[in-house]
Amino acid sequence: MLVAVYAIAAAFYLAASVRYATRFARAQPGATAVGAVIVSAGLLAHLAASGLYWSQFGEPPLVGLGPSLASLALLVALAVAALGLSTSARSLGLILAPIAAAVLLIALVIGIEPTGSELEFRGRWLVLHIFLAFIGYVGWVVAAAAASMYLLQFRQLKHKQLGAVFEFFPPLETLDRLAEWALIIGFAALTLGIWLGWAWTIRFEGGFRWSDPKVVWAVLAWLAMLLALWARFSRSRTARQAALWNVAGFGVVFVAYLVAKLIVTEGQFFL
Amino acid sequence: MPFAVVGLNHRTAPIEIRERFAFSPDEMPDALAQAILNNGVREATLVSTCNRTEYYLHLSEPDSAIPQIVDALADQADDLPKPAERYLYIKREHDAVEHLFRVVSGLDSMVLGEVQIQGQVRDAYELARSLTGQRQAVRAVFNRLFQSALSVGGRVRNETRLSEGAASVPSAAVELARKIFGSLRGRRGLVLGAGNMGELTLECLVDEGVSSVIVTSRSISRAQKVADRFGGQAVAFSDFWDQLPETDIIVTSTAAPHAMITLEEFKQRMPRKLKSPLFIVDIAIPRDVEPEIGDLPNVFLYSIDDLQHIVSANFERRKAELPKAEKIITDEVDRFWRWYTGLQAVPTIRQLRDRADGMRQGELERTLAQLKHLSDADREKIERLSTSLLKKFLHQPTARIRAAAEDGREHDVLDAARFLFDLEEGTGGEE
Repeated sequence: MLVAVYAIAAAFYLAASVRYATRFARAQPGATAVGAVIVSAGLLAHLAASGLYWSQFGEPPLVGLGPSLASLALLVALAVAALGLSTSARSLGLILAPIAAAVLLIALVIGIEPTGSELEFRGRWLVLHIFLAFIGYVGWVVAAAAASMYLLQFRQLKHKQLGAVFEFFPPLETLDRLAEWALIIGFAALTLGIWLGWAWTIRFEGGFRWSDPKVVWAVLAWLAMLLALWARFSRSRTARQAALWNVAGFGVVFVAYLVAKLIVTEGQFFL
Repeated sequence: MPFAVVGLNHRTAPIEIRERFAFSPDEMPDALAQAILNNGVREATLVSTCNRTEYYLHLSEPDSAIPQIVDALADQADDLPKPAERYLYIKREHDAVEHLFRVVSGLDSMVLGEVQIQGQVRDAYELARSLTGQRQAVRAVFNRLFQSALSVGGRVRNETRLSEGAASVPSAAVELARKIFGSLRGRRGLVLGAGNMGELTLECLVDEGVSSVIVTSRSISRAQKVADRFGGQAVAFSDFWDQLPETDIIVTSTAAPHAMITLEEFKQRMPRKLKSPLFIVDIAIPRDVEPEIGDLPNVFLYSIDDLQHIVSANFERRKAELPKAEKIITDEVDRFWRWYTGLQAVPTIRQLRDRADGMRQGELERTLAQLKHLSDADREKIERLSTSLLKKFLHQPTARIRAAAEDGREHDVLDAARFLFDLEEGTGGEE
């Protein structure tokens, strides 16, 4: 039952992805609200699945790779639905809807179920810590999506190749602002999330867990976001350079995550 | 032959002739009322834009009404180099309806698929609807005709891509500016050289929200005139470089024989790297801006050729949508025409119903007179029964008569109905 409801949500995200891709391939001027509405339908199914998980296992789907990826996909879908409210920003669904679909499908393949391991750091503070960190990561996903669209749109305008990207993508200014706000919100959330985890480990363990790969990766992500923000607010940088830093930083952190996943195979309860 | 359109457009007359035929908004109510007061005109609407002046007419006597409308148009134009008839066209019946649908859809416009015409036709229809009493210009048929036309225009725009993409150099410049800046509200524009195309482009940009405008030209009086028109500021030609660092959009259209903005001077005058984008529209020939400037970071330079490429590509795309639009129009003309021919059956159906109802009432009164013992409630029940029986009995024949009329078989079927039920020949069903 649980898997079926998650699968329904994934199907909606896939359908929305097809809708966005079709309009883009036809070089139509921007996305309509239909894509966001389909994602919202998926979001309802996804929320229902998360509620089922919680009632079935007595904890929110945040611990373990499958559950945490599913929750990450939920937040990405939430971002797509929220962006769907803005006429000029809803085209971001072209990148974000497939991400939500892919992440949820990966979670389904891995298996969305608790790890069964006992955690030392439990309760509402753990939920808040993970939730804030996820908002931080999703903020960065949105910022990176907007920044990559900015770079593509910039290239089209500069080289006067006014095809599907020109027609479908939002204006440069919109993409720049979106990337900026997503980065600011993401950074603030990730900072709070890391601070919460840090405060807990200092309080109960006397120091930061530098040996924990996920902690190292989170700090790396935080530093990369800080650099991207610095590039954005530095006086000498243009919006295009800020977008480049944003995409490059996100790429580095993503690759670092994949490497960490390959190297570390045990003891990871979250991502 | 009840429908006709009489008028001229950009295909039949040049601008200097079209402007003589044009009616100002103040003149239109009287011109329309005059048309309605002509013999043989049942309904009328007058569309007058910069590209067309057309009377749409629903006529009872076309042979006498159309020459009067032609005369009215000739009077309006006055003192033409050639007879008015040389510029005018008259389309009738199916062709007139199809013409209206094509006009509203932008298929008959100078710029294929332009959208303003829909609003202009809507305004003309609303004006005609506002006339009342003896001057009443719109009744059932024109209400249906114009509502159908406006709906066809909407369908064509929603179901095809006929109106997508910029269709002129100024609108292409605006489209690009919007893709760079998003909203143009509060943006600062600089116009170098106050030529016609530059002014047109500026007009489009101001319409989109560009609020601060600097105009510079060799002739400061000309610059001042243009600046005044857009609430901007005129500056001496020698001072335009000082304005550049604060500018978002530059439109150049001078007649200078060499580039006015060279790479070397641009770099000297704008030493710091451009933090925000600069959009330059160079519509001068020869070009006012050295093309290498377009390679600088954050500078988007488009020449007249670039813009015309965009317009041409959009035009080709619009043309490719024509078959879809034509199909919608053909279907909708057929649908309207079926509805209209179906109206021919209305007098016969009305007579049939009146005749049958008269019989029903007569028989009912006779029967009830013999049943005096019945209560009021029972009498009411019997009356309801008779009405219900009559409705059920007449439903199928009237539906069939109407359907036959819509299919163009009205003569045979109406003749048969009149013969069977001994009815008279009636007219004016649309009223």
